Amino acid sequence: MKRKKNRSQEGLKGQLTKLLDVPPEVVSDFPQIVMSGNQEIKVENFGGILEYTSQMIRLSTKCGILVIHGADLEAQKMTADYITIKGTIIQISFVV
Amino acid sequence: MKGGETLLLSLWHYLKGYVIVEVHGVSGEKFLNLVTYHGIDIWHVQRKGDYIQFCTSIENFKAMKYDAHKTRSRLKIIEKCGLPFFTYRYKKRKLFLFGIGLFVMMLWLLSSFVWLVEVEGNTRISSMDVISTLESNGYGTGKMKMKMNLRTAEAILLKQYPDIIWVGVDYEGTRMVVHIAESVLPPTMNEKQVNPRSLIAKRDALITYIAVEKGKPMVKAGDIVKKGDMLVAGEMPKGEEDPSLYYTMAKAIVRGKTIYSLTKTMNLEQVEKQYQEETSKKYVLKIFDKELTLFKQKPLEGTADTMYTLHQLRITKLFPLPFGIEVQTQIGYIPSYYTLTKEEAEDLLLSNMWKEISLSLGKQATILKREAYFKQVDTQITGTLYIVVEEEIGYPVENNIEMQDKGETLNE
Repeated sequence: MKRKKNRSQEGLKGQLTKLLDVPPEVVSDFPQIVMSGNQEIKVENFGGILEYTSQMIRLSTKCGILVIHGADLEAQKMTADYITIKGTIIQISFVV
Repeated sequence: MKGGETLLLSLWHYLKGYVIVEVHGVSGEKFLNLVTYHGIDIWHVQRKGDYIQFCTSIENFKAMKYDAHKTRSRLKIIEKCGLPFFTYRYKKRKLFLFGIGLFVMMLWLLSSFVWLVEVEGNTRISSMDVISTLESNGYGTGKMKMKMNLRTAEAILLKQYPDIIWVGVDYEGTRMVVHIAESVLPPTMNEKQVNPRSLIAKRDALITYIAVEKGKPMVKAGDIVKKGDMLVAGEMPKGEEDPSLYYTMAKAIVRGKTIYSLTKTMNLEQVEKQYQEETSKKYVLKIFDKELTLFKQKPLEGTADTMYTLHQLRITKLFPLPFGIEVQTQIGYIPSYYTLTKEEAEDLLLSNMWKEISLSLGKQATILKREAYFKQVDTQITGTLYIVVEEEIGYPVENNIEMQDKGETLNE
């Protein structure tokens, strides 16, 4: 019941976004991910770090866990809701 | 890897000072989350084996101690970087600081002088004239920039050279650059504004042809004139009824036969230099008028010529220094002596003399006669070349005041 309510709320938000032509990342809590080739990835609006090694970084986001595989990964800059990762990125995936 | 933005950022970090920290413990990620949650900036986060290494500012390091305690992690500073730490470290080394200060002072002091004056944009006015004019008024190399008013220098130049219509003097590093715009000369079409002038003979000559357009002819064809004699006077009677004179610009074609001669000597015994590859170099440091030998190779034995090359020292194009290094290169040669025959020497002499004499001839000269005489004394051979030329011999001069006075008395 609770879940259903939640869904309908999101639906309303989505509908409003479509109606007013607002970019979805402004309204929703979804992360915005920007990649520069395979050398850099910027993730905005994430929850926190779950795992941090030089081969894999796992970040929690609103739409699941963002898993970044790569080599020599390094967080260039890090604040509460913003992270810039440099290194050679091999794969990114979401685990819901 | 580092872009322009990160360069600026790293400079900022350096100025503020930062520490490189290691976090040991099981829950490194938890610590990172907590730190960022508290709004603490960290950068260059790297996982190294079982610990995490990152950079943070000095204040933030103090602030994150509580988080480390909470997540049971151990913090360890492995390096302190940046200006605050550097100054702290060198606080006690007074002389070192003094040295840095002195260096900066010297650099500032030396760059506040003018070391070179350059002139640009001039075609008719010579650069050396401009430089010497400036120098005589106290604007030149070795003067302090602060003590010079460039606007006054510009005014001086404008006053001195009427041909300059605009001048800009500026400093470019330790150079003083004078930009000049010269005026375009007005065409001399309007003869009314030209001062009255007469034609005089520029060489001794026998007049062969005279056609006067304006002025009073003083000679006729067949006359012999000396250099400087008046050919056509710049004065004319006002009319047939009025014999009084008025001054005008004499205009006439006066041609005459004139002789050019040139004497040259040559030795029959000639030396040819066969330059060798062996050289001896000497490096001399030149500071203003003083010389200081820096480095010297063993001077060559036997015959040698010396070549001088000056290298002005400068830091980039903008900062020439008042020092130069002169390289004096001795090039050895083996002299080989040979003797010319009389005919060969005469030929050589004649061609040399002809080359030299033809430079001094007027443009529309007709050569009428050419004669050469040679005389030999021991091994010296002396040649004399005479050429007879028919050419324009009139040379315009302005009527001087004395003449005008004479003219006025004549009028009276």
